[in-house]
Amino acid sequence: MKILVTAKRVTDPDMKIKVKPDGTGIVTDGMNYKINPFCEIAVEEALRIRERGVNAEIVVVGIGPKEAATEIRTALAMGADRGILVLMDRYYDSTVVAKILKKIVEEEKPDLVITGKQAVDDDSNQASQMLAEFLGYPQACFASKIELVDGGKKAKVTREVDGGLETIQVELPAIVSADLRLVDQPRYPTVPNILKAKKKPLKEVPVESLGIDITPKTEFVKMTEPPTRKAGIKVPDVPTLIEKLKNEAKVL
Amino acid sequence: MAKTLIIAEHSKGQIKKATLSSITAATKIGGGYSIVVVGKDVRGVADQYAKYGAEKVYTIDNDVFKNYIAENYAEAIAQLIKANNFEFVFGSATAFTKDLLPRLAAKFDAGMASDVLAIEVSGSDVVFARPMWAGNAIAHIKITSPIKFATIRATEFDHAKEVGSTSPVESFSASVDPAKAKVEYIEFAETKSERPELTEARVVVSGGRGAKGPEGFKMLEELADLLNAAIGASRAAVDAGWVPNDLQVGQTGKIVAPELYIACGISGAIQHLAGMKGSKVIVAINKDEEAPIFQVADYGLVADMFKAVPEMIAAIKSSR
Amino acid sequence: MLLTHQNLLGLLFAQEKSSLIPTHSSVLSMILYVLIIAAGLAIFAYLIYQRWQILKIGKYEDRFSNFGARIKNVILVAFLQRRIFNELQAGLMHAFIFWGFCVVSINSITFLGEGFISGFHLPLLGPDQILGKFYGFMKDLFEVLVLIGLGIAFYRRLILRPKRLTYSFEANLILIFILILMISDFFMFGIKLNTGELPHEFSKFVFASAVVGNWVSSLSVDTQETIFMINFWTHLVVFFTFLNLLPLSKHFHVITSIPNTYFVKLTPKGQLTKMNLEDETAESFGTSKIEDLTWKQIFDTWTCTECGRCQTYCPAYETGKPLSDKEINQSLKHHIYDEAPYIIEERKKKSAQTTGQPAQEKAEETRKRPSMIGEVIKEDTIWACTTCGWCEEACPVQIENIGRIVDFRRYLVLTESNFPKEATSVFKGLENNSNPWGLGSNKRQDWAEGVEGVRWASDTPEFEYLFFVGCAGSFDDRNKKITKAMVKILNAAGVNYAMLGNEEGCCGDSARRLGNEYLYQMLAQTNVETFNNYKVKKIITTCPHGYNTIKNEYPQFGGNYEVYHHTEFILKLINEGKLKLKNPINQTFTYHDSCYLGRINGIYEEPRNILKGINGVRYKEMPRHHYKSFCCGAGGGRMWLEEHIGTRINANRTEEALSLNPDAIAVACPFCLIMLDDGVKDKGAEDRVKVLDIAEIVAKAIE
Repeated sequence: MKILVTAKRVTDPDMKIKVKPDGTGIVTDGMNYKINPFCEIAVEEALRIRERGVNAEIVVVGIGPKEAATEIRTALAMGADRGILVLMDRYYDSTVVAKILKKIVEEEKPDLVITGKQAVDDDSNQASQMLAEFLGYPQACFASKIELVDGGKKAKVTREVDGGLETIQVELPAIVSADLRLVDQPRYPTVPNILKAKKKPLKEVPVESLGIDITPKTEFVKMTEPPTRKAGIKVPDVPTLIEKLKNEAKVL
Repeated sequence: MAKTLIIAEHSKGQIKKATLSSITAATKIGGGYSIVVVGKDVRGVADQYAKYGAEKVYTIDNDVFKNYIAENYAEAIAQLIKANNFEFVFGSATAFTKDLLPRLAAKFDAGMASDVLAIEVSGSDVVFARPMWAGNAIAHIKITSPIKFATIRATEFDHAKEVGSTSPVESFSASVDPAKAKVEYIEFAETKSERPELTEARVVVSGGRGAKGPEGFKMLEELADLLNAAIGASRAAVDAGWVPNDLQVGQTGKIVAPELYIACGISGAIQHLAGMKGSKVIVAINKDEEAPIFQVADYGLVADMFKAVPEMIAAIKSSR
Repeated sequence: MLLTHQNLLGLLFAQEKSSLIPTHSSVLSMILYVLIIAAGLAIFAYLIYQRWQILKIGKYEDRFSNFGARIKNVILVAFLQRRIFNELQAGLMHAFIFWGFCVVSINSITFLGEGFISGFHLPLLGPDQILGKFYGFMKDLFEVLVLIGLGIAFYRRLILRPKRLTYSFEANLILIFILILMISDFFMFGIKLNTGELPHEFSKFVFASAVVGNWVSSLSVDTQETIFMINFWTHLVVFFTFLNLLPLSKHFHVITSIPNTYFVKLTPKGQLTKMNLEDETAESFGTSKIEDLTWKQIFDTWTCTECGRCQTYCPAYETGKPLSDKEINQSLKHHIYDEAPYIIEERKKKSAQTTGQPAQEKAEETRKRPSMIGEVIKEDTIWACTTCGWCEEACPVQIENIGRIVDFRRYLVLTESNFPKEATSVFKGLENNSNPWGLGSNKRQDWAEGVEGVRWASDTPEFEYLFFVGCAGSFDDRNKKITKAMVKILNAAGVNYAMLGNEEGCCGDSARRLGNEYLYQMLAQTNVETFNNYKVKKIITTCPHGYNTIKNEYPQFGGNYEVYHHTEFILKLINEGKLKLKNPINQTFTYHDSCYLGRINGIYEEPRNILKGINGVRYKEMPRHHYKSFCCGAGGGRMWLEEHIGTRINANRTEEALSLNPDAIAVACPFCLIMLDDGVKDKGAEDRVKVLDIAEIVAKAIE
């Protein structure tokens, strides 16, 4: 079978994020980047599906600038087989991502697509669902467990929803988006695998060559800093604390 | 004709408060709003929603919608939207809406804003403010497609109040072929506990080395019960075996962001802070006035928790 | 002479003797003698040949260059028994036996030679020559010392029974053999004196033999001859049995220990080997099987005497973890002996193939070798080590344990990605953000907000010293205070220094010690590049781990700097008058020697001198101090791992410190600070005992 997974290049979520004074974006000087943690989970799950006994080719797709190849190589070092980087250097939103991925899916014809449920820079959590609709595929989002059943023709997916866990069964091909608890910890690549990954095929595809409409359906206006946390105060005693929590913070 | 359609949520025959925030968001847009309730035997829910000033409350009521399946719900609501001239489609940012709304948006090749914090209307321009980088930056965007979809962050918009009058409730007949979805609903396993789950609780009462043992945590549990709070713990308390390790808050434990985080006897090492610094209000109670936790606490009390916490318990009890 | 059967018998069992030694009066005896020697030597040669073959399985390692340094080490450690004397009783015991052995071996040559040539002696060592008389005296003196040593040894093994020893039959057997050799020698010399085969005057020199001789002098000559004969054959047989027992027992160290001290590691104690990670065809990195070991690592396992000194202050062993340098030696040794025949066989087959001979049936393919990592050496053992260096410091024969444990870790991490889960976020944090906590690398200089007088390299064009703050000093709240104290001290002393701020990266120590050499090399190379871009020549650091790796390991990556630990540097400033310790501190202090500062890098006195130079300080030494200091438990990357087995290492050390009832425990390492601070809090003693870094103490004293 063929599994398609995503690997987005995102700013490291542990880095300090500062909005540029002119509001056009965040400061990227000295920024560190890494693979989107949810995508990393998706890659790890694909590898585990294979290790559980399915003969699968795992293809990684990323969208971004040339540097985004690094994150695809990370996925290859974990064990994926080949990568596709769609070169993109202009403003885009989830609708564009979904359209690009649709084109890739139509070309690659994977049986299963596992994405990260959201990217930790954008935090939209839209592209996977939109992709499913564009393709007419069933969707199983926020997955915390995936099981191939019915001879690999269906996937039984447990989803993290409000108040509990929901289990559904989807016919393949389907779109599954990975939630945090799908995998306890993505593997740390071994050095032999890191060295091998350098040689695995990684195709760079300029987005224009896909021949699709990539007009975004949103427009960026500006970016602002969030309201800052007011410096804390020390209270002298319990009655004062309770009073402040009740009347000032309004949390009691 | 109402400008905004709100996708309402319900559970066990009751409305969900979160949807009321979407109603408030819709009033910011102006031009009226309608509400749609999808499910099986949802007339009772629709009647409740009818108290909140909608132009119309639609029900899409059928066996097909007994269990939530995104493909079916999206197809049904899309038909409703096509039959009307809605410009905006909102829902509160819950797992249900987050799963459904993008699929619905894609049916219209439309743009969507996730987790909206604020809406600014100036003339015909509507600008949505939404968080990026886990809220470390706020992006202000416009949606350029004819129909505009958005999930609303419920904590940022007050719950709408009942208006006194009743909206008309109309049933909408959507034709949906469940076989097209290729999805089979299996089951829902609800998480049960007397105490709210640590990562979802509104209030968390957390103990550290200062609790000195399981007895300290018994005291914190009393406070937590009063506040309907979850119990959390620092690494030190878990390592010492005073509490089970699924209560650990921190870099290697759980990341929580409740409205109120009360840290008792916790010094505030970086690893712990990493797990709770997203909390809306942080209270710290610690004997050591130099404890790093005071750097992030909104309200800090330098006191022995064995004196302060019983005082708090007594004060809260007496005020009820 | 007619060849009658009486004459023949006479020749074989002759009656008249020119010498007590039976080989000269009986052809049968001579034949037996030659046979015993030939057999003894043949077996020995075979045993040694076998071991030579095994040694060749190991990878090559250069332990041959720098003759002078090596000989010096042999003299100090082997011949002068320097490390043996770390324990006085055991030291005397062993030194007597060893030196005795050295002196008496000359006599062994004489003994064997005499069997062939009557009256044989080595040149200048005849019983009537000056040197011979001197030697005779020394021999008897040392043989008496050997007896004393044996007495102590038996006392220890049978009565005292210290817990570090391994109580085996073989150990007692060897002692008995030595006893027999000594006693039989006394008897032989004594009786020779009685019969005049040795000149009477000689008895003044071989005084002990003379005493023994007196015990039997009243017996008939025939009886004495018989006693001599019994001692002669016993001595011969025991000698060769002993010789051949050596390669088969822990007493192989008798042969291998002196060479082992020659092959000693001459690179700095804190320096680990640099791996070549560029080989894209390599399927495996690190040490996971016998063929991955170097010949020296094989040789080490033969040299272990099972003395157990490595265990005495091993933080892991002492707190119940399944880690013991001795046990690793034994397990590896047995594993190597078990598997070597098959490995040698395989290699023979392989080389037969390459010479064009038809491929042999792979008969041994079905044999599954027990895994060196996992079965022979447990993973818990490998991860329990804090690399504190005690075992290597204590070992009288200088067996190297830390390097091989890291080699095992390298295999587990680099090839299998099989390591304690807690380390994953540490590796990822180091990789992405250059610190083990994974906090944003652009937050590294946040500690400096609001701090006066900070100097950054990017704004300070010509700085003399780079103050390397390190990860703990940058991100850990408690340790940020030490960084601020250092800034205060450096400014007060007018030092021309600068810090890198966000340009600084983790020194890499934790990565390397945990076995992640790939990550370490990346971190080290990045730092070296940054340092060299700023033309850094001198570095000050508050962390002994950073100190160790920058000083001793960065040269492997082209980084050669003068590195100072902050205690060295502060003492220098005090001695130069640039810092005045004017404020008294009326408190009782004790000081905890950090492993990476003390044992591994030899800095012991500087922190003490600083403390003692402050007015009002009362100083108390902990029982385990200086090179015996007990590890806090954080080294070897274990700062980041959970302790699942036994009791806590830091609790052990904290108890010791608290037993002195100090007002404060002084430390000079951020890890020790965290560990002991936690330890004190765990004991509920934080109100009465503070844990303070030397820098903080000095900052108070200079205010």
